[in-house]
Order: sequence, then C-alpha cells, then structure tokens
Amino acid sequence: MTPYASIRDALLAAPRVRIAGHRTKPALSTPPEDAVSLDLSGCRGLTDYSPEEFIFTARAGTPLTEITETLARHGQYLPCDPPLAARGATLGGSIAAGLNGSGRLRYGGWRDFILGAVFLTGDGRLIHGGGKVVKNAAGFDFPKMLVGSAGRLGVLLEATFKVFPLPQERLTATADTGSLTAALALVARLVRQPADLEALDFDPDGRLLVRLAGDHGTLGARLRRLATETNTPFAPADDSLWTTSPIANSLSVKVPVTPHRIPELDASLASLGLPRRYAVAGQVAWIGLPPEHTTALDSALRRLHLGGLSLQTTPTQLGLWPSPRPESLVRQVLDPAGRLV
Amino acid sequence: MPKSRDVPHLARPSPTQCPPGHFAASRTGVTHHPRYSLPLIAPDRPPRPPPARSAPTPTPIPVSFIAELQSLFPSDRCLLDDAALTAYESDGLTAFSARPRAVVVPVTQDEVVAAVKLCAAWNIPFMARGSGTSLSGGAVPVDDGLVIALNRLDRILAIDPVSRTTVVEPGLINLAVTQAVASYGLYFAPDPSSQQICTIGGNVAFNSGGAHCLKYGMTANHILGAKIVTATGEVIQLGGDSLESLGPDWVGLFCGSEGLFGIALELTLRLLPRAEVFHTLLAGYDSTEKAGKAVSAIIAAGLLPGAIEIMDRLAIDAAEAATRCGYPPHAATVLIVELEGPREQVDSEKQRLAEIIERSGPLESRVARDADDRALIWKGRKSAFSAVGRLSPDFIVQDGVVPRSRLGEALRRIDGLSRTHGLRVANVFHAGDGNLHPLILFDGSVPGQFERAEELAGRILEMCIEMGGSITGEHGVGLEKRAYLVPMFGEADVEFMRAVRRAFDPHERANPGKMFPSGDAPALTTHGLHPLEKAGILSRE
Ligand SMILES: Cc1cc2nc3c(=O)[nH]c(=O)nc-3n(C[C@H](O)[C@H](O)[C@H](O)COP(=O)(O)OP(=O)(O)OC[C@H]3O[C@@H](n4cnc5c(N)ncnc54)[C@H](O)[C@@H]3O)c2cc1C
Repeated sequence: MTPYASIRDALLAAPRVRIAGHRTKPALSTPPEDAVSLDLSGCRGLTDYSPEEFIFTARAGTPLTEITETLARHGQYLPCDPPLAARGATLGGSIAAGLNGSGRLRYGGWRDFILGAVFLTGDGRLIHGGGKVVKNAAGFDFPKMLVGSAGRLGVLLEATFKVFPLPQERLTATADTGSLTAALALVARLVRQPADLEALDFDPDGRLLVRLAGDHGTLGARLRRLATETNTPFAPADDSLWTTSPIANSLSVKVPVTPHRIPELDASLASLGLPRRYAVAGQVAWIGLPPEHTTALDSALRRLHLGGLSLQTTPTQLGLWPSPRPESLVRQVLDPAGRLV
Repeated sequence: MPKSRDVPHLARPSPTQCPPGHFAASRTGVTHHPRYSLPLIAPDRPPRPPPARSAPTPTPIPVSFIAELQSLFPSDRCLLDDAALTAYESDGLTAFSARPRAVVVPVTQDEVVAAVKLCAAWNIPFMARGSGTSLSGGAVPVDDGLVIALNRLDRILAIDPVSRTTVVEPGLINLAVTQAVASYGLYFAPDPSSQQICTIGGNVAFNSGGAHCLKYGMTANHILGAKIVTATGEVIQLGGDSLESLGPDWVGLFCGSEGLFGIALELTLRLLPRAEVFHTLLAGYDSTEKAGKAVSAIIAAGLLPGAIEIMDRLAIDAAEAATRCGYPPHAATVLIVELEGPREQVDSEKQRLAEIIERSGPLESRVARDADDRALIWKGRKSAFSAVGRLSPDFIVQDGVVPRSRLGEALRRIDGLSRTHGLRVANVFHAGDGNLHPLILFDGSVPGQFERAEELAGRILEMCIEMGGSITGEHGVGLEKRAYLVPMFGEADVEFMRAVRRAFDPHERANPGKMFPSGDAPALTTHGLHPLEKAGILSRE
C-alpha cells in the first residue's frame, strides 16, 4: 500500500476527480469545472520484468516509450501497438482510453494482453485483479474491465502484461486500388488468406498499406506471393509511413466499425469534408475533427448507429455508445459517491 | 478425433435423455461420496408477489412457481419428474450433485428471459447449463433451484467472413463454429479438448482454454460481443461486432464470471484465418528437467509456437496403451512443439527449432511427415487423460498455473508430494503457458487413498499460489476450488468480487454457491471418466 498511499490521500481529499497521465488525450484528461486533476505521471517505472516469462508489470504513469524500449532490448514487444507513444503517452492513459494501433490486427489489443491490475476504487479501496501468469481463470477479470474505462471505474496504479517476441524484420508495402470499393474488395480477400498480416490500413481513395512481420529473409518472398495470389501489385514502402501517418498525428476520433459499413460511413464523412482513414482491416475509422464539425459528426454517427471517442475535443462521446447500464451498475459498488468523473 | 457426424446426437440430447456430460454412475468405490448442498429455498415459503404479466389467454391465476413455469414452457421442455431431473444432477465432476426443482429447455432467447424473470419474481435461484462438461462442479444445479438448459438454443445467427465474426446462440457446440466457417478459410481458435461437445456459453462462462492459449489467448480473447440477461431479468448488450470497442470491456468481465452475473443469450465471436502450414515436432528426453529447459530455450529464442505440450512417463504409457501413438519408448518425458503460419516463416522457424532441440539433448526427435502423422501425435497427447483411466481405477485431474520458467521446480515438488503421499501422479501440461494438469491416481476402494489424493491435490494448488501462479488456468473455480479463492486473492479482493457480482445480481440468484467460499465448502474429490471418454469419443486436457 505504501507507495500508493499519497495517491489514495489525494483521491479521497476531493469530491470529484479526473485522472491524468501525460495529457496526450486532453479531452479525456482535462478535469471538468467542478473536479480536480489527479496527476499520475509521477507514478512510474517498471516494477517487475522477467524477460524469460514474457511478462512485465509497470506503474500507470510509465511512458510507453520507456516500456517499449526496455522490451525491445530483450527482443520483445507489445503487440497492441499503442499509438501516441512518441508524444509521451503513458501506460495507464492508453489502457484507460482503450487505444490500440494498426498492429493490433495480428494478435489483439490491450484487452488481449493485460493479465493483472492494481487499482483504487472511487472510495479508496486497493484492489488486485487478475494475476501475474499468462493463463488464469480464477475470479473476475477486472483488468479487462479497466481497458477503455477512461478512469471512471478506478484509479489504475499498475498493470501486468504478457508480451511477445519481437519479429526479426518488418516489411511495409502499399497498393493503389483506385477506389474505396476496390480497396474493400481486396481487404475482403486478404483477411481470409493465411498471409498473417501484422497490419492492414487503407484510405478513402483506395490506397492500401500492409505490414508483414517475420524472420530475416522471408518477407520479400511472402510479399511476392501475396501480390500473385491477390493479383495486386504491392510495392515495398517505407516503414515510417505508419508513424508519419495522419493517425499518429491529427486523426483523433476513433470509431469502431466493420468493413461492410464503411461505404455509408465514408459517404457521410466525405459530405462533411472530414479527413479519415480506415485501420485494422476496416475494424476502426480514425477521423480528423475540427471542433466546429462536432455536432455534425455526432449526428452523422447517430444516424449510422455508430459511436466515436474523441481524444482532443469535448464531448468525448460522439454518436451512439454501448449501453451505459453495466457502468452505472458497477459504479454503485466501486464508486458510490461518484468521485471518479 | 471423432468424425463430426458422430456428434449431433450428443450435441442435442432429447431433454429426457441423460444430457451430455452426465455421469450415469461414478466409477469409484468411495462410499463417503460427498453430496453438495446449497442453502435450501423452502418450497412452501410464501413467494414474493408474482410479476405483472399480460396473460395471452385467460388462464387460471398461477398458484405456484411451477404452475407459472408450465404456462411458459410446453411439458416436453419443462422437466419435473424424478427420472428426468436425475440426468441434470451433476456435471463433468461427478462428485457433486444436487437436485433441481425443475429443468426448462428454452428454444428462444425470449424464453430464457422469461424464465429468469420468473425466478426473480419468485426468488428462485437458477443455473444456466450448457453441456455439463464443467470439471469444477460449475454446472451442478442449485439445490431446489431451476436449471435453464441451453443446448437447444443453438442457432448460428450470422457469419461475416469479411469482418471475420459470427453471431451465435450460447448452446451451440464449440466445434460447430469451426465447421460452419471452415469453407471461408476461417476457424474459431479456442479448442478445449471437450470441443466436440461443450457449448460456447460454457466456454464463455469459464473462459475456457485449450492447447493454443500461448499464441491466441483464452476464450475471452475471441468474444467481441455478448447479449446477456442479468439475474434481475434485464437484457443488456455488452461489446459489439467490431474488433475495436468503446468504453469499458464488459465482455471481458463477463467472460469467466461462471454464470454469476446472468445468462449469455447471444455471442459475437472473432474468427481467425486458418494457418497455411503446420510443423509438428516430437522429442523424447531422459528427464523432465531437460524437456523443461528445451521449452525455455524455444521461448527465449523468440519462437512463438502454436502449441508447446509436455507429458511425463506415466502419461506416455497411458497414451501409448490407448492409441499406439508411437512415442519414444524409453523417454521419461515427451515434448510436442507445433509451429504454424505462412510457409516461408515456418520454414525458417523450423530450422531454428531443430537447432534448439538438438542442443537440448533429446534421446530422439522426429517431425510429423504428413497430416496423418500429425494427427497421430496429437491423438496421443489428447487421449492422455482419459487413457490414465487404464492405469488406475480413479484419478483427480488438477488444473493450476505456475510461472513458465519455474515449471521444472513445480514438477520436482509435485514429484516429492507424490512420494510423500504414496500416490502416483501423471503429468500432462500446456508447457508454453505454465498450465499444469497433474493427474493424481488412486484406488477409491482402498481405505484412506481417496483422502490422501484429495490432500495431495490441495497441496498442489497451495504450491501454485505460493509460486505466484493461479489455482486454475482453464477449468474455473466452480465448487471445487472455492476454498482456494481467498488464499489466492485475499479477503478484500474476494469481497470486492462479491460486491461486483451483486451489482448484476443483488439477490445472488444466478448460480449461487459457486466460486465464492461458503460455510459448507465441499471437499475435493474423485474424478472418474466421462462416459464419452469411456466411449473413446472425448479426452480431456
Ligand atoms: C473430457 C473433457 C475435456 C475437457 N477439456 C478441457 C480443456 O481442454 N480446456 C478447458 O478449458 N476445459 C476443458 N474441459 C472443461 C469443460 O469442457 C469446459 O469448462 C467447457 O467450457 C464447459 O462447457 P459446457 O457447455 O459443458 O458448460 P457447462 O458445464 O454446462 O457449464 C459450465 C458453467 O458455465 C455456465 N454457463 C453455461 N452456459 C452459460 C450461459 N449461456 N451463460 C452464462 N453461464 C453459462 C454454467 O452455469 C456453469 O457454471 C473438459 C471437460 C471434459 C469433460
């Protein structure tokens, strides 16, 4: 308890609290008028890392880069490919926001790699959920519940993850299909291939970006085969396309979607003139949102029965969100006074 | 592996038959067969006011819970007589049994909701039942409660090959998912060895595993959405149909909740593309230590095999007797490693694997020549548990987890415990995950052996906790491990779990008595063979 006593004191001292990490997602971390900020950026560091177990535990305020660099020194990585790392995003903030990068396509997101969590409930109880082994079916899976909880279900203090061996090599390639329709048709074929793509994104003009990962000397052959089998001229491209992409920069609204709904979504976004890109084989849309378009995007998403999370501008919840019912039920237990906002 | 056409009659029992997963009789001669009993709901207690329901036809005013139940379900799907109820008294863990008040067999989601609401109105506890293959007593009815048997709520509602998802009802058999999507080049990754018979609802409730968890995770990692009815009768959609989601991961919390929040009505599953090639290697060692070191070396080299399994001599003997799988005859331990992926990647990895295995000092090693040979290697592995029944009249299957790098130490300690308790232990485990499945062999007809076996099983769980592991990797807590939840998590964390359960189920009506410790904690007890295992159809991991 000791290392977290001061955080607990700070939590209990205020009637309404908003948790902040490195504030790379201001819409989520800026306290509303009547709330105070609980800054976790000082609560940092890897507390436990045994490379031979492929498991690490880190405090919530630890910058992602510190984690990814440490892992990389041991030939390991976090397959959920968290975005905003380069800008200083913290582990806790990324989990709470539930943000995964394009590389989550292959093995999964935060929810698939989190094993354990230590957190404070809104009334200051210290809870340990999950465990520190890669497989565990005992008790309720609170660590997963905290993914995407945006700080409203507890103050995440530290979390344990499984990690995977870093691929020896990566290869990025692009293909220009000429239209969104053609890109979606190609995606539909690619996802059923055993090609084991690490990432697959595309933009509204039909340009596809794929990434292969694997052993030295194998990727060129895999790419050639992919090109032949799909009859598509894939051209090798620079890996930096992933980090310099608009996603890493200005596209700050996340909209979970499925490929067959993309045409109607894209038509709406096009009519609003919003920049956008489709990631994870068409499972998520990233949209750029100038603040003056907030209401228009909100109603467009509502019409389409889609929801969005805005990282830069409030309101953070746009369109139709999943039922708030489980949250209100569980908050009665873990935050009866409604302290976590 | 049985052919799929063997399955349907098992998957869809007529409700009056013995349901799958039920043991007609225990194999053990133990006389003090513990009988599990939950706090009784007095049948003649005055019920709460019945719910306001708009009766479709003018029916007599319901006079009892049973009468109301009968107005909801036709008589062939509302089982009340002794013979029919007996079939639902226990699950894959024969030792516990309890008599339900009634069993209903809904065929629509609305019927499930109606049954749950009726239970809420009359304050009757209920339990969802899939195929009853739970190995931890999770599907033992609540004494005098209602069993909601979901085997016939098993439609596939949608398949979206482009999004790689399918929407199914909870009574669908696990293997039926892969069969339904195979033509798209897709499959459903969670593969418990009971997959020919267990249901998706049961997999979700227990967050079940299998041989491929290292690379692909457990059931929870393959569930994107769940429509549930909570114990109060409220229907809530958790998650959605995309790989990405908004808000807290409620689906993740629901998976593994052992039926304590409510009942899953509909599930959205994530599918994966089937790997292009497999490379299956079998190596024999003169010590388990060496096999364990080989596993560490494989992982340290950065290989990520689809499966890494280890069996010790006793388990090999059993498997060999049952399947003539051709495992190395003089080895103390065998290691099975399976690589899978695109051809070029597997070609490269198999060379790295071959070097590691060579350096690890095996007695011998070989690679599966073709699909048939691969199937034979796996048959030996998958049959091991049931095959142990040939070596011993009774056995207990334990399921625990230790940190992967401490597997060798765990096995030495289990060996020591085996000696001090004077009982043989066969070991089969998912080495890549640190998931142990020690099989404790005993003869229930010899006085004292059962108690010693029980005690040994408990010591192994204590060891797992002490080593920083878990009391269950995939079989769940159920009734069997309730006494170990607090030692693993501590009072405060368990109390918090209980509180969260009450958020969804304030009156603790959904599967009460499971997972959480209670005054009358039943003892660990004997596992006999499942009838399907005896028939050679199933094997357990
Ligand atoms: C031979 C054999 C081999 C096995 N091998 C493995 C293995 O390799 N890996 C593994 O992990 N397990 C294994 N098991 C255990 C068992 O098969 C799994 O736990 C399985 O998921 C249970 O499914 P079921 O349909 O039989 O569920 P049941 O046993 O009927 O129910 C299990 C629990 O789920 C709850 N439940 C069922 N349906 C629902 C629903 N719709 N909503 C909410 N709760 C529900 C029940 O109330 C109960 O608590 C094995 C069992 C046997 C007999």
